[in-house]
Amino acid sequence: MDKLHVKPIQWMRARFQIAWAIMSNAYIVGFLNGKIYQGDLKAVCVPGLNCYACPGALGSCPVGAVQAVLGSKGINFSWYPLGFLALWGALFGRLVCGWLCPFGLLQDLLHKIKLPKRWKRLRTLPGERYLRYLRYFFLGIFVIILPLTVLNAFGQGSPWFCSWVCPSGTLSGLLLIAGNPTLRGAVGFLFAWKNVILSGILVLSIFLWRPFCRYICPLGAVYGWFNPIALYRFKIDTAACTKCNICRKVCKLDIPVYKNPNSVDCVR
Amino acid sequence: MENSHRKTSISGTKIAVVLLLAGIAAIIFGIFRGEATIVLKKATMICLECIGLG
Repeated sequence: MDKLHVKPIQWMRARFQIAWAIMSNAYIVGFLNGKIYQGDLKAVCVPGLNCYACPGALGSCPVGAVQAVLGSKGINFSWYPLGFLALWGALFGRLVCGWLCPFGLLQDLLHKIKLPKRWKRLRTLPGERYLRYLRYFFLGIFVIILPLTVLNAFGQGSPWFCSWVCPSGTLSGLLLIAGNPTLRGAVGFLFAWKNVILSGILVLSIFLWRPFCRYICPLGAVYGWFNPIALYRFKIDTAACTKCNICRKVCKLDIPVYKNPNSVDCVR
Repeated sequence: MENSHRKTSISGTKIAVVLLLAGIAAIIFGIFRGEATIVLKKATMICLECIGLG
């Protein structure tokens, strides 16, 4: 698996990611006026993490949609958004993360920034193995349990992950605020907190490949479960494999691909 | 060895197809429960909570 084999796919992937990000955020007027698209297409959940408050977004974020439905009065299961997750997951698994996620693209682009020679890129963080379980914590607590159980006086829950964590939402907020001065008056502690998270992830992305996808993304947690059974999955030619471990060295997530080709951590 | 690999691969494909159909069924069921309307309503208003303003 030398560089000659890997590079054409990376070249194609980068271009596909950019094309997809533009296509799914094609409401240009929104960026100019600080408004959002309000057409019926917004009912459809896109596969990747793409906040529906983004000025250009034509579809809905599945994580936001799960929380919106769970937080609604009298509803305790999100059939509709989970249906989309099952659909995209069964087809692609975490191929979605690699090819169809605008926030993944942003992290990829930051990771391409050239560093001064004395600065080293990181392959993993200390405690990597345990840190990767964090995304299940965010999925379970922030996306499901809190929106379902912490209710206001009207019996409605909040989108806790969006409110307190999601950097895609913060980025959308920044884009909206840039074009819509009236929103600037609402900036407060929460927005500052979310900007700290966003900045931390963006800076870390320069040194470490896709920190958000590794440790935080609840969508990646769900799609990871589909990796071993998705229609798009890896199969090792056991007759040809020499277990030389080069695949692990090439893999930015340090996965021994020949042993576990469909790892839940694998971003395709 | 080769046979067992093929069997695992085929059963994986079957599970994927079942989940794919289950996903489509869940989407349709969700539409009838009014969940698509909830998503549309939430997504077509600027979600202040989502962007950290609410």
